[in-house]
Amino acid sequence: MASLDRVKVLVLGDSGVGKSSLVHLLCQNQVLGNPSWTVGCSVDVRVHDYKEGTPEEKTYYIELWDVGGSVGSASCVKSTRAVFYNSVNGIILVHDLTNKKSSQNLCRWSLEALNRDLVPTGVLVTNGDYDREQFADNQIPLLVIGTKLDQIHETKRHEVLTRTAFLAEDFNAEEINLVIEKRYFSRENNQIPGFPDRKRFGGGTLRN
Amino acid sequence: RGQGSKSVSSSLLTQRMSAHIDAAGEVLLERKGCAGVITMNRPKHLNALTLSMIRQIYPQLKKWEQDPETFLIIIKGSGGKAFCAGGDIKAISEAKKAKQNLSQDFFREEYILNNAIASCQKPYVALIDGITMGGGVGVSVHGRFRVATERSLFAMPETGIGLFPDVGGGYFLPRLQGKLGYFLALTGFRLKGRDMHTAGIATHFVDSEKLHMLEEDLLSLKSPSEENIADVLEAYHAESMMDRGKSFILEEHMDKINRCFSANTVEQIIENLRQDGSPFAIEQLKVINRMSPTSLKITLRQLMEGSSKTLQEVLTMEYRLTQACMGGHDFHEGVRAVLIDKDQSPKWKPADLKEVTDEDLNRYFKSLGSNDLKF
Repeated sequence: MASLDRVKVLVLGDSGVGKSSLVHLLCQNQVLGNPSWTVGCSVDVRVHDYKEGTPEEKTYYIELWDVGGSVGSASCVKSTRAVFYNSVNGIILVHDLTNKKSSQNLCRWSLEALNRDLVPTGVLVTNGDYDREQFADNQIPLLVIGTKLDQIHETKRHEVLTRTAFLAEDFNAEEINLVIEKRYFSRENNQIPGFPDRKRFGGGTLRN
Repeated sequence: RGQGSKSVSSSLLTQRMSAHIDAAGEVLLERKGCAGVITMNRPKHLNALTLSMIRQIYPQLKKWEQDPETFLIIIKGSGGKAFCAGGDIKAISEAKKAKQNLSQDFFREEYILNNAIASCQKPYVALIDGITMGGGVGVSVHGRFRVATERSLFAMPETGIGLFPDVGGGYFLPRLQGKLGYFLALTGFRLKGRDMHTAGIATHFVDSEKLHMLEEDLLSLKSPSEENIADVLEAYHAESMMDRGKSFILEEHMDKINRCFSANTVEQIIENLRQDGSPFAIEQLKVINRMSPTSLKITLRQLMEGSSKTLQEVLTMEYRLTQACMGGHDFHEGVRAVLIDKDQSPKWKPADLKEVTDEDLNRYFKSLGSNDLKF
C-alpha cells in the first residue's frame, strides 16, 4: 500500500503516571494488563484517519514516543534523552492526578522537550522565569492528560480538577482527565467499547 | 454631518464600508458600530509591531479622530496569548547590520504614533489581554483607557537586551507610585493581571471571558461620550471578582523599593540593595547584575530627566537614545543572546558599571541636530 505520512508525538511525564498504559490504550485498543517500568524510549503506532468521512480524509501514522526517565536527571542523561525530541509534531504531557509533584514537573518536562527543538521567533524578551511567557512562543500543540481520576475520592475531585485547569492554561494546552477503570479488566479480551477496532501495523517497541 | 470639506466626506464614504483589511493582514482596521477597531494581527509573532503596521495604524487613527461618526477607538491583539509582545526589534537589529535605514524610520514613526495616541481626540480603549511588553505598552499606556485581564502580563524588559524602556517609558514610569517605575525599568519585573491595575498601568480589570461582551457593549453604544464609555468599563471592572482579595505582589516590598531606588546613580542603588540584604533585595540585585551596564545607566538618567519633561520632550530624548544604541554594541548582542540564539548569556561591552562614564552617557543623550524627532 502507499506509504503513509507520519506524525511524531512525544509522551512525557514522571515515572509511574501511566504513560505506557495510555499509549497501549491508544494503540492496542486494550488496557495494559501488566505494566512495567519503561526503559529508554518505547514507540508505538496508531493509524489514524484524519478528517474521516470528509473529502479531505487522509490516513496518518501517529507515532507515540513514550520517553522514560526522570525530569531531575543529571544533564548527561538529559542530553542523551534529547535525541528523542527532534522533529516533534505534538507533545502529550501526562501527570498523575493523585500525585501533585507529577503535575508540577510537567513544566520542566515540556521545557526540556521544547527547548531542544524550538525555532525562535525572535519576538519575546523572556528571562525564562514566567510560565506564560515561556510557552507563548510555542507553536507545537500540547495536550495535558491527567490519569487515575478514579483513585481520587469524589469529594476531592473538584479541587484537583481546578488545579489542573490552571496548569493547562499556563501551557496554553488542551486538557483531558482520564479514568482507566478496573472494571474493564473483567471484559472479554480487554476490549474497550467506543474505541473502534483500529488497524494496527506491527508497531513494535524499541527497548534499550 | 454634511459639514467639512469634500475630502473629509469622501473618506467618510470609505469608513462606511465594513472592513478595510490590508494586503498583508498584519493589522485589521475596521469600523464597527460607533467605534474604529484596530486589531494587531500577527498571532504567530505575538502581534509584534512592525513598521508596516505602524504605517497603517497612524493614518487611520488620524482619520478616525476627524470622523464625526467614530466615537471611540479600540485597539486589541489577536491569538489569545498576547496583546503585543513588543516592536519587531529582531528585524531592526538585522536591518542595522545590513546597513539599512529601518531603525531610523521605525523608532521615529513608532514614537509619533505613541504621541498621537496620547493626544488622541477620541476616547482610546486598549484591550491589553495577554502579553503586553515594550512596543505593546507604547500603543496602550498613553491612551485614555487600558483594560487588563487575568491573562495580562506587563513588562519593560529592555535593559536585558541592551536597550532601555522606550516608547515613552521615560514619561510614565517615573510617574507611577514611589519608585515603582524605576524598579520596573531597571529589573524588567513582570506584573500580572490585577497588579497591572494596582500599579496604574491598566485603568480597568475584567475577566478575560467577559472581554468579548465588553467589546460588544462598547460597539453598540449610540454616540457615546467619554463618560458613557467610562461607565461601561467601570461596570465590568466592578463585576470582576477574580483575584480581588489578593494583595499587590509588591505590596510588602514597596518601602524597600522606594528606599533603595531613591538614588542618583545605579551604583548607589546596587549598594542600597546590598545593604538592605533581604531576600527580595538580593534577588533583585542578581537580576540587575545580569542587565547591560550601559542600559542601566541610560535608563536611570532617562527616567530622572523624563520625570519633569512633557511626553513629546521625552520621546525626542528617547529617539536620540535609540539611534545611539543602534550604533553601539549591547543592543545587537542582547538581541542575539535573548531573541536569536536564546542562550540568555549576553556579553556586554563594557561589562562593568564603572567603565560606563558620564562622558559616554552624554554622547547617548546628545541632540541629533536636524535628525532630531519632530512632531
